[in-house]
Amino acid sequence: MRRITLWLAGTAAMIVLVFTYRTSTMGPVRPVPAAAAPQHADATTDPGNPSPGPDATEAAAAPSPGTVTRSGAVLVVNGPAVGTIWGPVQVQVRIDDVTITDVTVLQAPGGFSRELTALAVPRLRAQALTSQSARIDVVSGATQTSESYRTSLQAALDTAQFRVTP
Amino acid sequence: MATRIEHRQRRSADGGPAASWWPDVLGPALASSVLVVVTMWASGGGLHGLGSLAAGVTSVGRLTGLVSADLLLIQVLLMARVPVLERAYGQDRLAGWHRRIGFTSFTLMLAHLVLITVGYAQTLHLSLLRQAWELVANYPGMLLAAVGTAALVLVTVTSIRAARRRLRYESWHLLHLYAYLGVGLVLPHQLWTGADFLAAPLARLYWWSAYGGCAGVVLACRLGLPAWRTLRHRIEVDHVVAEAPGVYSIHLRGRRLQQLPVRAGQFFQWRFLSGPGWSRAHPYSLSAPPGPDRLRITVKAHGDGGRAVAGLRPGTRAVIEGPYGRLTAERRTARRVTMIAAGVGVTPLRALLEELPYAAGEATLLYRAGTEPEVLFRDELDDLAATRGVRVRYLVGARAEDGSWLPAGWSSALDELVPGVRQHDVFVCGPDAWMQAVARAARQAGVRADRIHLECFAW
Repeated sequence: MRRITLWLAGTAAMIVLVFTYRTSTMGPVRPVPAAAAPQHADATTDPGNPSPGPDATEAAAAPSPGTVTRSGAVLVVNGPAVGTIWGPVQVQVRIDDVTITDVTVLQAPGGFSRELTALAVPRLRAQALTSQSARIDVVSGATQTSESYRTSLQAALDTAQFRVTP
Repeated sequence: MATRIEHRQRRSADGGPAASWWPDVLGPALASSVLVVVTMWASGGGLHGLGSLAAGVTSVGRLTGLVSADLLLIQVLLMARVPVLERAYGQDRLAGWHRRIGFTSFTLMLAHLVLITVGYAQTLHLSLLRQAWELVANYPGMLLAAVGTAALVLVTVTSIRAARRRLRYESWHLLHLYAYLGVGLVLPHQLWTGADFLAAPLARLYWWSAYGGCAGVVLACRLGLPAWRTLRHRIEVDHVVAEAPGVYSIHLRGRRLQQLPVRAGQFFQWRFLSGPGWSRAHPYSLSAPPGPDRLRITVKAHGDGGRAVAGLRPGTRAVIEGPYGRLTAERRTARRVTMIAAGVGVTPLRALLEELPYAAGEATLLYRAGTEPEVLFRDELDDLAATRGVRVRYLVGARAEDGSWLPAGWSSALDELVPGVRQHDVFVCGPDAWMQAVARAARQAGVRADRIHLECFAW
């Protein structure tokens, strides 16, 4: 009887202890802005991305697709959010006259995919800047993220009526 | 310790009650639940992931985890003492399936751990150890899942036969309750990181209903129903009678017992509120048909529980779980019956002999005992022989060394002892190995397997 009491107390203590750990009560990782990915956006062109940390659990409200700002030759356009099974991917493109100067990620899936995103996004961005288009090769291991990135980017470019200049 | 249920895998010799559709439902239900899980995985992009090696490993890892969780819930459900399942299959068979499905679920869980770790590590170009650490330390709900896994490992390892034999039943059973803890602790990581949970509303609905339903059934059948019956019937000790050296009958009284759905041949898990040790439940069969305000159990006093039972005072309250067991009149298919009992295993058969309808000469009792003083209920059996025409035959003598069910020196076949036994229903109760020997003898005598009725008991 005494041993049972000890076991019970030990078990209860163990459970309480385990539940004090941060991952034990953090809840699901919702799609969060890809803070882990390198970004070059400044505050004025990135209104939908309020400083998420890696532990952010609340998704920012999805920025609506379409033109964000146009000042002189510089155009900033949001693509639509495109779903993967882990959550949506949405990009923002910055066009200076006839050149794509930046692609940033407004939101990307969390969970396991957050790390995939961190892995894939810089390579996707580099390809987009090099090709000056949404013709991007899929990053292996991040097929869905790549494809959604491509779709969102293409839609943003269409909105901007951006054509590849040969 | 009379009539203890062993949770062991074994092929039971008994068939289901004739013309019941229940036994045909369970297999397809289990199969379709696994099918649903696989379908949800596939429609959530599971097959899509099979394109590349790393993603494929991850995807298959998810599938093994999902099927493992599904089977985990199923095997919890099988042992939840659901009355309709108990009646359709009997606890011994349910325990056998529980064991097999449990080990399968455990194996899949191990596969899930390995595959997910390998798949993630491949994708993210991390070493396996680093990835395993990352998973446990940083992913939502994963520390809980790790602790839950440890609990499930504990439960499974202690259920491997070699380990199981070294543990007292009570210790093993307490450790086994950690399975509930394990199931509960692994749930959050499924909800929080599982791609299949997060993606589709239907999948979420399925898993929430599966977990909710399972928890509800366990609470209702393992706590609610016993508590309700205990409070409603207020069963307490009336008096204790010594039947033979070390064997005592406990006469009990209670309220509204006619509304307690118990039949001769069944048992309850008993806890007598008489002081230390009350928390341990003991399975004892009724040794007489239940009356409107009376029950009787008969107990062999060895082990702590047995000794405590001998000293029970009138008025001691009993907490009951049950009734369980399907060694009842429902199982009968033939006009003639033969009961074969050993030692205190005579108790449920003695109750059945009184309850079953039969004409004089249609019922036979073969009663195996070590010595004459150990024979129980001799007056009652004589009385049944005189008033109901039961043919009672005592098989008294030392245990045979060759594993025979008969006393040493006997060599009769069953159909010599009971002519025409192949046309009888044969009810058997006694120690486990002995019952197996009886079942063999009955089959040799030509008794159909579905007419041999026994439940897996051991002393």
